[in-house]
Amino acid sequence: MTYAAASSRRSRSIPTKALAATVGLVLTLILAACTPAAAPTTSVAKRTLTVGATLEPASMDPWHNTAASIPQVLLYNVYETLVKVDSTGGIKPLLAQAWEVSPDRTTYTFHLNPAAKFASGAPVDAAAVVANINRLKTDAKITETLRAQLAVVAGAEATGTDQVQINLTRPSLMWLYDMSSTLGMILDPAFTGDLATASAGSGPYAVKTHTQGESVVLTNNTKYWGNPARFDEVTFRYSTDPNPQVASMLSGDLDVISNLQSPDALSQFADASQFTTTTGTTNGEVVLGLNHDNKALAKLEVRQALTMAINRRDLIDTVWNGQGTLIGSMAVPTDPWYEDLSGTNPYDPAKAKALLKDAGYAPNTLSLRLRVPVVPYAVKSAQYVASQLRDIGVKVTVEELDFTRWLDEVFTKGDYDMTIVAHVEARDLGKFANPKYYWHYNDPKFAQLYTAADEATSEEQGDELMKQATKYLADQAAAIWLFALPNLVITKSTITGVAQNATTLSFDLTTITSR
Amino acid sequence: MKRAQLITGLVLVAAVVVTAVVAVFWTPFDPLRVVAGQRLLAPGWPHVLGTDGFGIDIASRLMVGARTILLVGIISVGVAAVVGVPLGMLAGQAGGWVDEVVMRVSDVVYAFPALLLAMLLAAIYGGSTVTAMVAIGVASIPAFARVARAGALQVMASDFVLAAKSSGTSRWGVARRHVLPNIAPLIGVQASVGFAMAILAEAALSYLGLATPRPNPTWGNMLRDAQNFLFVAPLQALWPGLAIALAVLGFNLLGDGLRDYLDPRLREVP
Amino acid sequence: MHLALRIARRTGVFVVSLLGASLLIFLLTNALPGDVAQVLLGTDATPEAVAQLRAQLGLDRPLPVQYFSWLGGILVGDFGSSHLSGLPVLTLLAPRIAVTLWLVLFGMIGSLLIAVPAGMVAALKRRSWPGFTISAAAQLGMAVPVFWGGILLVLVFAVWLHWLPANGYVSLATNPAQWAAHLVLPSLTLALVQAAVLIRYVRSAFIEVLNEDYYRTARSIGWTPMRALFRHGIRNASISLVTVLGLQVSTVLVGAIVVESVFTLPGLGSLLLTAVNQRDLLVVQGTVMFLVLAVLAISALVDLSYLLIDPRQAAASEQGEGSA
Repeated sequence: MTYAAASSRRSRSIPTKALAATVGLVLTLILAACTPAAAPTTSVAKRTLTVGATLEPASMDPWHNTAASIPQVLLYNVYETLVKVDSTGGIKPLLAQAWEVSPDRTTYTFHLNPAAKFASGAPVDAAAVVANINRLKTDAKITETLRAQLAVVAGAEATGTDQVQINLTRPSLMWLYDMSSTLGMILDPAFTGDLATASAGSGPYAVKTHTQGESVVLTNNTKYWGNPARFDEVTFRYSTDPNPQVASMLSGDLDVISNLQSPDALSQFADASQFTTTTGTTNGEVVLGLNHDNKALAKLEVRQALTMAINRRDLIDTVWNGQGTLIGSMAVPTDPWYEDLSGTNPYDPAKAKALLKDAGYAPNTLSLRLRVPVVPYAVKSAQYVASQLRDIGVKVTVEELDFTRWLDEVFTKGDYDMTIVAHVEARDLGKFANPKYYWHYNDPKFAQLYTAADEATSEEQGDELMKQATKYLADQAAAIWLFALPNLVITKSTITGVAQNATTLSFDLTTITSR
Repeated sequence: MKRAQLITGLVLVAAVVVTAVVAVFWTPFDPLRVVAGQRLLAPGWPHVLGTDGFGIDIASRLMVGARTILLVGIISVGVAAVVGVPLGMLAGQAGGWVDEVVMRVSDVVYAFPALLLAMLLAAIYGGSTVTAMVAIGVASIPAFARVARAGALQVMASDFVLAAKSSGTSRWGVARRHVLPNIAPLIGVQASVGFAMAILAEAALSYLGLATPRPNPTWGNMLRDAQNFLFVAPLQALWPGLAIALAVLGFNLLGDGLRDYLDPRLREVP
Repeated sequence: MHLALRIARRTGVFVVSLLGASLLIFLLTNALPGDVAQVLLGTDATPEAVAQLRAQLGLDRPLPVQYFSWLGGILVGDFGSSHLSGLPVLTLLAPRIAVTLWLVLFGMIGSLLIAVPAGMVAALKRRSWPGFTISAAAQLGMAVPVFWGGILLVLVFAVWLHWLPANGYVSLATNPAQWAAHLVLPSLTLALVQAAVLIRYVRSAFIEVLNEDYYRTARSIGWTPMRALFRHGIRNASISLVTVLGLQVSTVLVGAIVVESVFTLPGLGSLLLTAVNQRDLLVVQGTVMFLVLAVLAISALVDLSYLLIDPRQAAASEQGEGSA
């Protein structure tokens, strides 16, 4: 026994050492493989900014992809426009120093800033602007939104080196605002690369890398023609789950959270010596979109019933910690034609049930699919809405989709009954005038109202007509407007210059500084 | 000590089963209905475990979760047993190349964790209770096959089987009359242990969002939701996890207790 | 001679298992009702678009041809490409392998560091309260879902004590201190759950030693129980441990995938989960194949090293196989 044990002891001694040796070897190999060569230290520390955002842009091409996450990064930072909307919501010069509008308001003449140039060094001149407009007009694959916005443009011509004349088919109050956003982004005409991965704009930054599923890194455009960029590198880090973002902000990994998607966590940033919390407004309407191709949803009574079934004030309190604003139509309080329509089709479950019955739907006979993207406000609102609709006898099946799938199946292919998404573009009620937009809302009366408002001879008249159009949408319950998304920006206390209100699609880096 | 194990296991399992059955007919509050102004209440009365972010009673959601867990456990263990036991018996009785083939296939499936199978199915069909049950069931087949085979081998070597074979009883007859009754207790033990594994697997799958979708409550997705409120209402993260741990513990103890009860000579550890 | 035969046999088993697993993965993805091209394009895709994608992906070829073509691709490292980004699966996997590897490595080391001392104490004090407590704790530890364990650790160390970050990852190259801090809780979670499983094996291995002559001899010349037990028991225990760890590879991998989700670590698990949610079928197929390949390779390596170290033990354990 002892002898056998002794001999087996000898052979048994190997496993431990072998194990240790193997582990050590593996460790060394991994370390060697995964640690890249140390970067040479620079004499000047890099000024960096790390911004936490929610939805990741699938590509760096804003003309062929509709997601708002693309202009969030690129607008004003990488690509500039002729005119810009500032933090008060007014139109200001950017690439154009000044502009005139003809008396019939169909001709706009822009005087470009002669100093403006692209990152390549080429000047942003009239020829470049004209080339851009022609490019969009002849490209059959641009997004539906851009196509609709561009429809009013008849043509553009260069009337001087730095003078551009753009002709519209009819007057349009909205057009200049559209030109301050994605529609107006000027691309370097000499660029021949892949728009999805690289950039060629005139802004203070350029796209350096885009790591799918994680981040976008912008780098300083050293040849920028205006005020130099304040940071050498800006990283946008994406997470649809707000908790890691909150944790990263608390631990100092992030400098800014662009819009906090977990309002319950606001209290964790109460320490003013470390964090600054800015509460403001966005242009984002959280819309419970109804697919008007659905037989039931095509009926006004059904839509009204659904609107009345949801206690939207309580939804805000439950889902968004009370931080949103109640709205009744596709307009937010910062719009000039805004009026409080939240009382239209007010919360009244009994009336809702009656309306449903009148429309021919006895309790538990109507089934609807609520397909939402996996973003916090949508997922939580969906659960709330499903519960409220169940109370009035409507069966709701909630389906959570990855945002890529949502874009494909709901937004592009219209495979849904109801959905929830925030529309963050400014002055976007025109989307309801386009039957091809994913709601498939086709109401000539609204289209008429909207066009009349757009064509109005004065801003005042235009605002008045827009008011009517907005009210019409509310009365028609064309969609259900759950709430207006607040702007909850968290920054380190050393960061200043973040706008209180998000008036554009852009996360404007040009005003942000770090002490 | 062993008796204590068995009894604890029985009590825990009974608690889960009773809760699940009761939940089919009644829960204290509606597990899906959002309630205004009652968010994130601490445990007290009438919400003994508090409420979640939508004001829904956590205890009621836990009860419905017990229902789902029981359903998933029964179906996946059932599938695994119904497929695995005959296969194992066949391998043990027939021997030779049949045995080899069955065991090799079984090994391949064994290398496949239920999670990866579930992910494959979810990628095609979308995650649901059904894909979870199928994945867990299929992944559990090898364990049942092995137990049945080992038991069959033992029985085949016994005297009265040899006698039965020499007297001309068909293979099927031997299986029915001798093998099956004798391996039944072993299968029972494996069923209990398998149930515990199924509960853990389902919990992990629904935590990852690959099983029963929201808003239907499962213990796994309740934990996922609770993570959002970790800083604000930490207790929420306690209950679903505790429920899972106790249920799994119960089935494990029951299995171990049964095994010791049936054959005290069997060592605790293989 | 006998040894060479065993090695050949084990390698053969590895190859056969690999082929079997690849066949299973392939069949699940391609032979089940549900057209791959349809899934990739979505429910409303036009028949022409589906047909085009089918031709592009080679789905109109007979199944066996498709299978061997895919298998052939794997042998040269082509695990397929993402339908969404066009990137090859290995390119997507490469930056994430390190994260998962660190997690698994530290998890397993941690589990050993916990299980060996605990198992020793459980063996020595097996008839008194410390022994009972450790065994009961191990029993409870096996019942605890790994993600709950992680959440509880976050609650204690991140939320209440603020000692460690709650989630996220920093690479070693960027900041070693942060890298370590972000890996502590995830590794600890894995380690604790694994240790619970290992303790039983360690305990019984050490109990065996307690009855051996050389243990009693060591005690008689004045060594403390712990020292004597460790010195003579560690070899016995390590054999058990290696066996168990080999069997546990796929369980550890699953645990790592779940832990990555709890702590939002950018590893293989989170890539797989995202691909599943995006219905990026080819990435899922390729990644699952990669993971199964890794699992089978590791268990084969463990068995082979075992064979080389102690063939007699290998024979004994082979017969005892079938109890897992």
